[in-house]
Amino acid sequence: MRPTNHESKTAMKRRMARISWVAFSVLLFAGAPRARAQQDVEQKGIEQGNYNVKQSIEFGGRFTSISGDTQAYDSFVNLQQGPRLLGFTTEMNSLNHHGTLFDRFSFSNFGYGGDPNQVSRLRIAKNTWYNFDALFRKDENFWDYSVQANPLNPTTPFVNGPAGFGGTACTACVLSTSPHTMNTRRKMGDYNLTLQPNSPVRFRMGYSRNIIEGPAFTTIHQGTEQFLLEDVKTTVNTYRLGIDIKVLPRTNISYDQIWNYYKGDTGTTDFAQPFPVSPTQNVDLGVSFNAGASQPCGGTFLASGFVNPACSAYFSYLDHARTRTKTPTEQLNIQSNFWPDLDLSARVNYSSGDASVAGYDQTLFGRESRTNLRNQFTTGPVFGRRVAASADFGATWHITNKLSFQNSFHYTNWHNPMEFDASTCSFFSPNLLTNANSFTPGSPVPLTCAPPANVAPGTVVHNASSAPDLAIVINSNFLKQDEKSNLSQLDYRFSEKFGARVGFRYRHRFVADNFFDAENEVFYPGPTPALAARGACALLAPAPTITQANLPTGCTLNGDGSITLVAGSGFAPASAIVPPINEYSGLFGLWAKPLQNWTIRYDMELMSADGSFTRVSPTHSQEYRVRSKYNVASWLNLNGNVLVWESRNNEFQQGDLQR
Amino acid sequence: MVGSLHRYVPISTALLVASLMALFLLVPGRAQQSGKKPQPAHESKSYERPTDPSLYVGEETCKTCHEDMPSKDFVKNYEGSPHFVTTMDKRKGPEWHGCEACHGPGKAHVDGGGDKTKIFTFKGSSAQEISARCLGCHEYGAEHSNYARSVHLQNGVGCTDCHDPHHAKESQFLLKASQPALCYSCHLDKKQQFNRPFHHRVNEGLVKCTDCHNQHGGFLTRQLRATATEDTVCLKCHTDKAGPFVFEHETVKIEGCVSCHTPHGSSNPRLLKRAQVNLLCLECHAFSADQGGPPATPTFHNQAQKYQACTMCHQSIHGSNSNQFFFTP
Repeated sequence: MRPTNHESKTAMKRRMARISWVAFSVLLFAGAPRARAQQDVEQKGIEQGNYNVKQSIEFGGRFTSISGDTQAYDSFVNLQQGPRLLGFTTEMNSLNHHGTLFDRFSFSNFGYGGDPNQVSRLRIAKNTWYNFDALFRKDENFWDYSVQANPLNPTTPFVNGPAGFGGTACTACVLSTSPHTMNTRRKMGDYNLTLQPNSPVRFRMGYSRNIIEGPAFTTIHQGTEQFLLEDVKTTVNTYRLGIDIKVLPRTNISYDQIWNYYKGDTGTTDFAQPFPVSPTQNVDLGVSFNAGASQPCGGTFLASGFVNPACSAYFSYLDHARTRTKTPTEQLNIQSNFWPDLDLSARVNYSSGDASVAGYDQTLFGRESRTNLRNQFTTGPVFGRRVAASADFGATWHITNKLSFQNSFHYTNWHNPMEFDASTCSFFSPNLLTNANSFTPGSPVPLTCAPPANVAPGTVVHNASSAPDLAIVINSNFLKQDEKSNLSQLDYRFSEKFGARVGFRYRHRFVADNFFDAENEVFYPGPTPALAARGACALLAPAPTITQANLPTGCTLNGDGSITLVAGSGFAPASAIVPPINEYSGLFGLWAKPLQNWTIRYDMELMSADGSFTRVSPTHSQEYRVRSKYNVASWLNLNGNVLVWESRNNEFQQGDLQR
Repeated sequence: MVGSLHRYVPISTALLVASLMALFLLVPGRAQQSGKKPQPAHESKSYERPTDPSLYVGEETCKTCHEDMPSKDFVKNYEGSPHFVTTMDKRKGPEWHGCEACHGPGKAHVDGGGDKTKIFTFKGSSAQEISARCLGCHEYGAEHSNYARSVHLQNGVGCTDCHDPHHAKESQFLLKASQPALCYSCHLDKKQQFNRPFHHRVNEGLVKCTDCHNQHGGFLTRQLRATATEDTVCLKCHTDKAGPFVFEHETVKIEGCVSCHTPHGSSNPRLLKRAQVNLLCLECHAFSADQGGPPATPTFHNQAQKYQACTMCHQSIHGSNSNQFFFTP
């Protein structure tokens, strides 16, 4: 049967496509050496004074045409339109190796003009005198990938809802942006200076700075999901001083002192209050809108168009803290080949840092309908430490020219004792339009709470879920890990072309996760006296009146009708201390060079552990890796990799630690 | 699928090992035929430089033949590199100077009319021999002191597999190619990981493989680096996740970031191991453990709607100083 005209055209197109591809491939491979040779033509530079100077600059422009979800594009790619400095380099090398200030100078940049990644590198060196290396990196992180954060917002319209929320569908219920959008920048600078780099005694000093800053959105889950504006600002300054000394032949000692200073100044505020709850007051209803599920509340909008005052909503919110962590670290490193058959290295490292949060302030004006909360203030210091010690030792014993035994031992122990002494004052009212009332205590209280300006003395409108009116809570947590691991390997080189090794790794971990908390809380009565007995001081048995005998241990009925709770829980239950975890791994590897330019490498590791910290941590794993690299020509590599990794964990539960 | 792997992986491994063993029974013979000179066996451990000055001829003598041999600008490139500084230390003997600092004494080579077998050449030498030469000067500090036990050297990767003192494409470290192309030439599987939609910006030039891994070896698995305070290397850049926190998400500190994230690249947002946040969290915080204690997800969490992304509420998931449920920072 003869093909139809259309079929023959299609077949011809296919043939032409095949021919084009073959021709293209041939041209590609044929042209590659020439193209490569052209690339290899080295820039000669110009000689000026005592220096040979080479410079290159590459300008360009991006022309982008974006359709579809531009927020997703910015989250993934973020390459915008405009002129760019794609690359700039300057190199200077002294001709006689005795430059006045430097012998080698190199300065390179890329990304400037609006790209999300900008890098500058400066290197200056004067032979035998100094090496200076500076690296500056700036990256922009835009994140507005809304699908992840809120994928299933329903569009059921709200009765009486304003534009976008009522009518036939709640179009505004589907967020156009991620509630966790961010547009931050990270600026990292690393500056290192080495003096007398080729001397038996050389000095090193360095400074690094890491800043993350920019606006972001976030949420808080209290009442509903309130939409918050976050002013991200964290700074880390690191200072380094070091010295390398060659004390014996083929033996080096290095000592480093490092100071690390972290500053966290991120704060959040309620972003916007677009919904009127009265002619003079607007509120934020958060980001969870689902009329069908009564979110943020049943009858969210009244017939008047105002927000239902019984709803959870915020007038304002503030969360701010000044976090400071200072961590000095000392490090000693020794390496020696003093004995030709023995290669040794050891490292000891100790850090003991202080962490603190000053001026913690969380202030909420609004309403949490579940608890009748109207205003809440939380303050209190955070303080603690980060202590880490490590000791490593490695040795290679060259038993024969072909056989060597290698051992690496790693030990680390760190613990983070941290404490937050929180003081919380809570005020309650029945709705958004009613100011809270304050209770006038007749009994001693552990905390003095200054009420907001619009709070008047009177009957406090609690409900059974209301939090304590006053609370001092000490949260003291202690997380620790002690880890030892040892890797022993026997390495045999059969020939210059083939070698193999077999080894065994043992890893032992001990984790402690302890906590201590103590509460001193006061529950005021209101609107009924019985509502003082709520929360942790709820009556043991339902009774019309409160009696001391009917209160839980730790709760004291005061003369003014309030109840004081003094309680504390000791260190964590035994289940929170993980049994020591032991891991055993067998390793095998071989490498081979069948040809001068062809290398094959194979590794495998089989691990078995008698426990794990989490359910997703493997108790058994097997890993196999094969790599082949064939350097056909200077311009062509043929490589291949196969990686097989499989892991299992048959533990049902890990001591309740999946927190 | 996993069961299949269990069956086939050990078998295929055994076959592969056996094949390679069989293949390389023949290899030494082929190596001899290639004409490569045998290297003195004692040099494979560590290189001790002969100190007799009469064995050395000096750099100028080398230049008479090697100005452009075996490749163009062979000497000139070296003279423009940091290695030239070896000629400037007059306190040390000739065994530390210039060409002979690396290639060994050259007198026998010169007297032999350029006999290649009378001098050390890096091409064709084993990784151990090459490394022994380089480490004689470079093995100091935490950066290089573990190369003898590094995974690279164990796999036959020596210094000159990455560095080229005579024809470097990168001026400071004399690399054969810039990162990440140099690393990808062996670690091809990592290249495809960094090509995933969400990835660390290695291909873009912002981050380098060596920012996280010490290519010269170390005491941690995967030759990972650590921060000065012995934290995971991730926290060097992601400083806001370092803490310490009053309320730690223990897994972050105990098992590390890789419990939830794939560090090189991922098809999932935020480099998460799972496409949906709740599916990741529920692997540990499962309903099935609800009877066991506090860790399980409370039953009032409605997995059908807004709680799907657990971090919607538990937004300070890496740790918090003020809220045990990670609601606030």
